[in-house]
Amino acid sequence: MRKLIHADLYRLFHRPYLFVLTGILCALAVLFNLMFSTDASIQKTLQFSLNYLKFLPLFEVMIVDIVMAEENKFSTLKNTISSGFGRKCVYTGKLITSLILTVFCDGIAFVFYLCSAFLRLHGNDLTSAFMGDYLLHIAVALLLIVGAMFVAMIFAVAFQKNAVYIFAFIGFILILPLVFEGFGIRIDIFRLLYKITIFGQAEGLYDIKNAQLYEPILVAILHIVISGIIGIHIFKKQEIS
Amino acid sequence: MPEQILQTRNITKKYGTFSAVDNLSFSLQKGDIYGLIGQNGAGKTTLLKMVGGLTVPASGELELFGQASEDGLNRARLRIGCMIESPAFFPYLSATENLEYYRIQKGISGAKRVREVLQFVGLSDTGRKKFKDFSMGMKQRLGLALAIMGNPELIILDEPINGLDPMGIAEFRDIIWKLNRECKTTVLLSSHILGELSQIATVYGFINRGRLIEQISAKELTEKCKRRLVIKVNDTEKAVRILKDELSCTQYEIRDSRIFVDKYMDTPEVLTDTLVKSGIHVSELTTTGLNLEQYFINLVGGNQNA
Repeated sequence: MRKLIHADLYRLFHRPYLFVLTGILCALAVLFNLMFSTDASIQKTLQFSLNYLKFLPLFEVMIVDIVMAEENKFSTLKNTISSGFGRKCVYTGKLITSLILTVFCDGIAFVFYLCSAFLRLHGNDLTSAFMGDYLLHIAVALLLIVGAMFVAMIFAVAFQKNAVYIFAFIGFILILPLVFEGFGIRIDIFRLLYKITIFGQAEGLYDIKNAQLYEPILVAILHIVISGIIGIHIFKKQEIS
Repeated sequence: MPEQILQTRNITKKYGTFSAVDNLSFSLQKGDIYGLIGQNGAGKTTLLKMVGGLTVPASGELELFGQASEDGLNRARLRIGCMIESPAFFPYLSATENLEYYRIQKGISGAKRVREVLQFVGLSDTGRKKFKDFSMGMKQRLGLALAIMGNPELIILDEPINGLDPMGIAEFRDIIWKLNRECKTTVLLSSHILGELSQIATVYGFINRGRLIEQISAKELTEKCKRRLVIKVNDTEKAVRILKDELSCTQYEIRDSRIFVDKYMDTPEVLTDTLVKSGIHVSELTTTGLNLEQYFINLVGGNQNA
């Protein structure tokens, strides 16, 4: 599996797409900071960044696309499978590669956000206790992003056509929660369903207390476990073209 | 006894109710160049895909290098090189980068191996040109380069000469011969270009509607297809006696009241004159003999009529 991941990283770092994607994320992070936190203190600015994190699961569609979905598009997966790699090994390897890329892209964007926030430092309300809480929220957000990555992987495997994969993922991660939220105004069950979506939890991260963080953690783990099992099952049965 | 590299027993693959491969059993010995022949949709690619692990058989058993379990088959696949269906690579990478990707993945040590195989298939001068800009022939060569990169004991090639120009086909044939003779690589290949296949294959497998209808060695096929004189006479026994006594011809066969003679292909008048002088009435004199294409058409046609 190490060789699979190594090879994938070689391939992905040999194309401009990854760097363009990271660049866009960084630009958005800085822009977001400049536009929405002009008068805020550094603490408020950082707190506000948690709101921005709810959009990051959507970027997983691009990460998983370059790691896995495009292998379907270019039919290159057959070269890997016929070389003797087990399907479970390939699937797990692709997930780990996606995780590495996610940490790389989102990590750089986060650093850009922090730098742009600190450069425009207002007030001195930054405490170690606040930073601890803040980083804890960031870690939980990362877990939700990983959950979205597992979901994206299912769609990448299940739908060979790239456009269908993208629509299915966006539909599941963004549109479905919004529908639940809409119906949730009148019907309680939809409010509950909204709460167990990645988007629903990521949106709430902004003003959630540490003691309530178990909710997004559970939702993320639920998505990881269920998507992992379904994804491997589909991939093991799938005909590689 | 030659080592058996690949064996299938009653292997079946269904798509809905359609059986792409139907209870197919065949074996491949070490050192063979096995030519898989069949019409479009006969099940050749599906069979090769099952061997390569790209699709799972519905039933039956597949044994590769003596391994039949799922893990064992995956281990055995480390010893093979494949190019199934069209060659597939990342369009945004060059030939070197694409092969480097698979070299790292397969754990082949030494980056110079990439240069070696590119040189071997005649793609060493492609530089930074991306795969998406390659011609069909170049893509096929790169596919072959990938298949041989890990020094495999078995190479599986599906329609490998599609898109190659005549020179490319000749070079490809040389590469296969070289690999087979110098590196003792076993080759399993399918092709529609039967004339080309007949120049390299040592064993043929004829496949029709998912079933293997005949497996035959090149030597046996040559024997079956060789050119012969066919004569029909009024007295077969007397004619045979004259053939043996006067013409010293011992290589003949009597079938359907006709005599099939291996000699005198270039001088049939010697044969007819001798028979006529001995008072035998020759009512028919024809030649018979098939090339691979005609043999295949007869076989498949016969099978379809059956």
